[in-house]
Amino acid sequence: MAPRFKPESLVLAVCLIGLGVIWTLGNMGRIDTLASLRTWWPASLVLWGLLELVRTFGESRDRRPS
Amino acid sequence: MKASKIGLLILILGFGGTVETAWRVRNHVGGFPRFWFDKYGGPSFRYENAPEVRTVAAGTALVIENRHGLVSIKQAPGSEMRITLAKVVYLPTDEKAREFAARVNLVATDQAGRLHVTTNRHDVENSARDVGFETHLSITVPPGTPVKVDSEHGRIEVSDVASAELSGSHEEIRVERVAGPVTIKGRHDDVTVSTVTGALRAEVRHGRVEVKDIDGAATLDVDHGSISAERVGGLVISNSHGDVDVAEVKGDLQVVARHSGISASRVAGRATVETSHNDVNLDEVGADVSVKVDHGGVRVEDVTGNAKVRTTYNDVTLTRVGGTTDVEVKHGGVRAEGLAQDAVLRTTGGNVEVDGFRGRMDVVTERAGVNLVATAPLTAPITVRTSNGDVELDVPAGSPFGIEASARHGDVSANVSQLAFITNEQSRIVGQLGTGGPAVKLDATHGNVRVREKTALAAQQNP
Repeated sequence: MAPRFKPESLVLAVCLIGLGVIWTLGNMGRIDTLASLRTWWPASLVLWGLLELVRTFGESRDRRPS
Repeated sequence: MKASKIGLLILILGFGGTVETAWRVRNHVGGFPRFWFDKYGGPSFRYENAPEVRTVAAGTALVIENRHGLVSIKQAPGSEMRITLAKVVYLPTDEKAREFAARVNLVATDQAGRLHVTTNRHDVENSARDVGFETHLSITVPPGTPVKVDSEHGRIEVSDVASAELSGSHEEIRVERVAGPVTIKGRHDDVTVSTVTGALRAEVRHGRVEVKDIDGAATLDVDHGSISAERVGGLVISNSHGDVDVAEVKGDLQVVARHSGISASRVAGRATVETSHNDVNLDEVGADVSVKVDHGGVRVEDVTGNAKVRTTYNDVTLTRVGGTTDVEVKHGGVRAEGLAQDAVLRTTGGNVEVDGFRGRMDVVTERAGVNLVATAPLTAPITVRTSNGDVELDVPAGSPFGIEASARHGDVSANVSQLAFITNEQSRIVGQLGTGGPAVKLDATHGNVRVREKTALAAQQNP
């Protein structure tokens, strides 16, 4: 049986990657760290919501009789 | 809802709330908490202006005012002052930093007999309080230029000028090769001065001071910092909470300190030292020595003049004093060697031990004993009075003297050949050795008195 899909784990991983990228670019002088974090942090909620939708549709399709 | 989802939701919303709050503080309050986004932290970019050159008359003074940046002044041949401004801007991107740096400019004003150099930092800061920037001034000056610098949060380096009047804080001040007087006011960092032809005056708080090769007199007022001085014309020190280390003073040394250890060697003139809660060490002083210590020991060696020492709660050690000796110790003892002239020694709670003396000896102790060893025939009177301690006197063989010794609640003994007793009792003796000679008067209360000939002493020690 395939492991169960967990949206929150995926969100946490993507957020950590995003935070690291923004912070690195900030330290390199390419972007303003605080301004970028302020702009992009709500995107983590959007990403999480989308993944929850994907999971819900996936589960309802699995329960439908073939 | 699962606990992991609730946890992640709290984490994201908490992070978002923190970022939003930080953003509002940075943009609307005008300052920022300095734990992460420091005004002088993060990415920075450096830009340097083309040098501004001013031709000046000989002897024109240079006056500099600066904040947050290096001030470097060096000599160059000719009659020009060449001023270079380098700007370091703390902004996230090169584009923003370059735009900001373009607003920061040098302001050089010719005034009567002097060139005043500063920047428009004040105006720029008023319009952008949340941006950190440094202004570094590098200046070359003609020979014989007097210099005055007022700088905060920036290092000051000055060399080869006619005179220097410097005020700085939070960064080091370094001065070399000044043909005239130097005045320094430093805060929160170290001060280093070397090769000054004139006098030096420095007032420093929370910083170490190091001076070398000062032809004139040096006056150092230092709090919470140590002092190191080498080859100085004369030295006056006021210090607290830092040690003082002095080597080679061509004139007098005067130190008034608190909670400081004092160490000085090769002082040509007088040495006057006062401190507390630490020790004093003086070597090779060419004139009189006067030392006063509260809660500290004193060691004095090779003094040409008189030695006067007052201390408490520790011992005094004297070696080779050419003049008179005057010592008073409370709760401590005295060890001395080679006292060439009269000595007055007073102690409580500490023994007196003297090995080799020539002049009059006057000793009074409480709760302590006395041991005097005369290495040459006695030529001056000796008076010793103790309570709760023994008195021991070792005299060379054949040295004429008259003795009167007594002990209350103790015994008196004299083991000296050819000593003729007038009175010889258990607690009192009166006698004469030879004809004439100085009077020796020894008195102990609750202690014994012993007088020994040095040859007899040697026999006792090597039976």
